[in-house]
Amino acid sequence: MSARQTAKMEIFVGGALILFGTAIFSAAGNLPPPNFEPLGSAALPRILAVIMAALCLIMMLRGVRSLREPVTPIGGLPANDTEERGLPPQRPYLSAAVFLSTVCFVAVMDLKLLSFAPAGVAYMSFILFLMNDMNVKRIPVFVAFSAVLVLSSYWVFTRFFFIDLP
Amino acid sequence: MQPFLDSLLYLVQPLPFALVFLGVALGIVVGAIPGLTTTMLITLTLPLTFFMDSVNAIILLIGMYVGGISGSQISATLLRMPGTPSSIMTTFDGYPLTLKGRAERALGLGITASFVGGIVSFLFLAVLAPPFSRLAVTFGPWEYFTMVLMALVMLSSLSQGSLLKGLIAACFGMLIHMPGIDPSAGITRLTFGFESLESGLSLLPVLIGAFAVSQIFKDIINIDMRPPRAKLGRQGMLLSFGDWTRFAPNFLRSSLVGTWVGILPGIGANIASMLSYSMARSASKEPEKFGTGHEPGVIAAETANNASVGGALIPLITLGIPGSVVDAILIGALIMHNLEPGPLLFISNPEIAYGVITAYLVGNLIMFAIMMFAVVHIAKMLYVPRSYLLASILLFCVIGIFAVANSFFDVWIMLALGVVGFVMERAKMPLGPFVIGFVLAPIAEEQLRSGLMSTGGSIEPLFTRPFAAAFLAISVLSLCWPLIQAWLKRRKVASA
Repeated sequence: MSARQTAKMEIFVGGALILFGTAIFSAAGNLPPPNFEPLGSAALPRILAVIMAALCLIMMLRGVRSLREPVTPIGGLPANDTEERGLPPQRPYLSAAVFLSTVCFVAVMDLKLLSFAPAGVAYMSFILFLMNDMNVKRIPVFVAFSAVLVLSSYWVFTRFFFIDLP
Repeated sequence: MQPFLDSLLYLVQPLPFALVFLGVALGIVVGAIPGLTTTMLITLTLPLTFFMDSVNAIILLIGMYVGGISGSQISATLLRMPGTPSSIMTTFDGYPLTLKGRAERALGLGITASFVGGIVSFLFLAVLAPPFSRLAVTFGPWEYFTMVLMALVMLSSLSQGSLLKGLIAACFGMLIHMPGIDPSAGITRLTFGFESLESGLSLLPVLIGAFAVSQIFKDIINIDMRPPRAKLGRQGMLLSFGDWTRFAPNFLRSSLVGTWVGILPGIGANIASMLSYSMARSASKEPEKFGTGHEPGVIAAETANNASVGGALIPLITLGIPGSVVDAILIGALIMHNLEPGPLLFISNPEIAYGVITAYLVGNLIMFAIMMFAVVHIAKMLYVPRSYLLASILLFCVIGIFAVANSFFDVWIMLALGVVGFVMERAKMPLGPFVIGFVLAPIAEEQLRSGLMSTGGSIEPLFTRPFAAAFLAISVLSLCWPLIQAWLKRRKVASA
């Protein structure tokens, strides 16, 4: 990641954490005051939320300052150009697609639409397909590998550890 | 001595020995594969240890810890891709040796150095841990609170360079632990109406989400990166008598540096190897050769990073204070097995405390044997297709977390923390302080509140009790150190 991208991430993360800190601070305000001890349940969350928000503010200000600085590419190339440096390209969309597939896999089981075995085989085969450049010819291999892995883990968890899977 | 021998006798029985062996072997393989980390392996193994006896669970995890630190040198030496950050310094001289066609020699030096570092730090662990725990029994809540504070501040300032981001991560980790029942007052807090939050966030979903899931998504982004092939035989891996005498001062110095750095909370194996490497270069008559495939460079880096593990286990079993992220996870493992990490561990559960010490010794012996005899085959694991590996790990994350409490809530928390961990890493925010904040938050809060109760709200003991005042002073110094450093630098520039 370039310095500008990192700065943008810092601003985003700082903002999100300030929101989180604010939520904690206000929720802690609803807690009853201490009866038997000096500190009480609300004090530490509030102190931590304030410290974290203050530190996040500093980080965001630093991020804004570095975004305002002019970009000076080294040797005429952007610092993060992986292709120019001979590295394979990064694939953030692939990562996002695998994450969404995982969310769907968990949701399908949580909503009791499918049990672990069929959902697991479908999920594993799909993410293997995604991660192997959507190679259609290799789908049988993906399905076979997924079936072996999912069914063997199902057997281990239910028969060996005696845990019910969904 | 007797508890130590009892523990050693237990460990040479078939099942415990097999568990240490399995742990070391898995640790080596996972440590060797770039992108997979020892932290990931240990967090993913935690759910399975629920079904095991506490001693067996801990010795398995210690085996993984030893194996992981040692295994990372394989990819560092053969591919210039350190399996874990602790082997970054090994790449400087290990990889040039590989390019010169001396990969076996580089690995032989690294394996022997890891073994020596492990054994020397074991001696310190075995000798120092019992008296340390006796001293720690005298500590009260103020000492504990300031010690936790010191660990958090030192880890934040030293883990990845940015004190500001480290502190934010530590505060965030501590806040994440706050929802649920407040143990001191017995009331629920910060649940935002979610019933599932009443018991708080469990350790495992947070750990697996932050370390394993986020790492998998990071690895998928770089899935097209293929490691280059390296040829490897088995000639010349054992060190000669001449080598031993030539490298003896380096072995000793690096072991001492590694052990000492390991004892300090939060610094970790990567800093240990950097410090040891720079000391070896300063002490050398040929400092210009470092970084070009110079054998003492490999020895300094690998001896220190393994020695730091033994050093870090000293505060872990005597005080319950983690020296690194893996140590924080080991503390989590102790808590999950209803054990109380800290000075009482030696009194209430000596089999665990001595189990850690002896497993560390046996783990190092097994590591040496496995690495010497099987490194050629382990090196082939570097080329396992990443897509199959990552997909399988992701599936195990989901079922492993579900299996612990039969709860989808935990699985959702794991996925959410996976996103949090991923975003934090993109913002270059260290995950170490986050997870250590999460693990230490309840200890810090409990000790602070009981300390305040005992003094009627006064914080005077922070300054009047010697150990508490010392820990507090170190914390303040760690916080101010970057400012002092910047001031000194400005003064130096101004005077020049």
